Amino acid sequence: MTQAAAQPTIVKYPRTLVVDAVVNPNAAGAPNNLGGQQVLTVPQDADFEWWWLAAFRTSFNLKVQVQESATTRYMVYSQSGNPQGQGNSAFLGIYIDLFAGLVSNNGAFPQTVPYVMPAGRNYVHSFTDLSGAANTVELAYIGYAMLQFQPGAGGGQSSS
Amino acid sequence: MSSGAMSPTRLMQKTPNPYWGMVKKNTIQGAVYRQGQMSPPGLEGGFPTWVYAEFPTIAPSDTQDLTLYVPDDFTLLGYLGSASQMDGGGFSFQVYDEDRNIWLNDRLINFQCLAGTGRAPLIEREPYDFKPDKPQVLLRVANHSILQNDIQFALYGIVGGSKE
Repeated sequence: MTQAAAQPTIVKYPRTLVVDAVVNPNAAGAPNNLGGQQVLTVPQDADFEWWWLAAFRTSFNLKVQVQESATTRYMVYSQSGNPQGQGNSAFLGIYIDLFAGLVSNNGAFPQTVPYVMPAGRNYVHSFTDLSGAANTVELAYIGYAMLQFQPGAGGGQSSS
Repeated sequence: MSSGAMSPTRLMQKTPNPYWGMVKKNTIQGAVYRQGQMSPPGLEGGFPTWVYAEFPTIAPSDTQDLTLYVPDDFTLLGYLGSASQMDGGGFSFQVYDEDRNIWLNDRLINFQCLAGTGRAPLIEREPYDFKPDKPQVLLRVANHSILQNDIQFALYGIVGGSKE
């Protein structure tokens, strides 16, 4: 009798990935030059299944743009269809209150279809302040680490 | 047991409620809800995407049209909107699929009825697929304020996914 190959087991446990930034007042121009750029790196031990996006910010006059490093895809597109570059470097992204919810103010933004962020991948966040004062921002990606276990590998060991 | 008509007490305080049994419980929920779908199927693996438009200096009571160039393979899941001036309701909007020649809402509708925000999103029950290649959307915005308004609007959705 042949035995089927042992399938790895994925155990999900709650995890929150956080991006923090203090954005300089009245920062203007291309996002990459603002000093308000922060990189979120997904931990190496597991893929991350993103379900909710929550935010804290000092002022709502803050724009945000996110780029996935490996694919170079942007999350926010302008009306012209070019998120950045290609003659559209002035596009600074979307106001943060349309991008994420404040948990203290009734809710976080749900990903209708959860997105799996691969382990180790970088997400570059560009923040632009339009309030005229230093803007402290924190984005919380709420979801689950998808820890992979190989049967027989022993408890607590990830295969990745 | 006395009837509800004879005693003016609140129905919810009665055990059992006198209307109990008038509607078949095994059919009413089935007619309203769809069972067992946590997320719209067919979009797994797609990339969350916002298509953003802004009308920073729209004149009082003015109406403007704008063409949005939507990314390929974009599936619409909801609208987001906000405005700097909220008198008169802020603004109303209407969305037109230029490839299929259909209005997605039949008339201008106040954005607070149809568009959510980051903390209170409104998600479409049925995802809407635009044409896969270079879709275009006409966005019509009407300022309801008596002042110049700064209007923000976004389409929220998914690019790609297992539908490919």
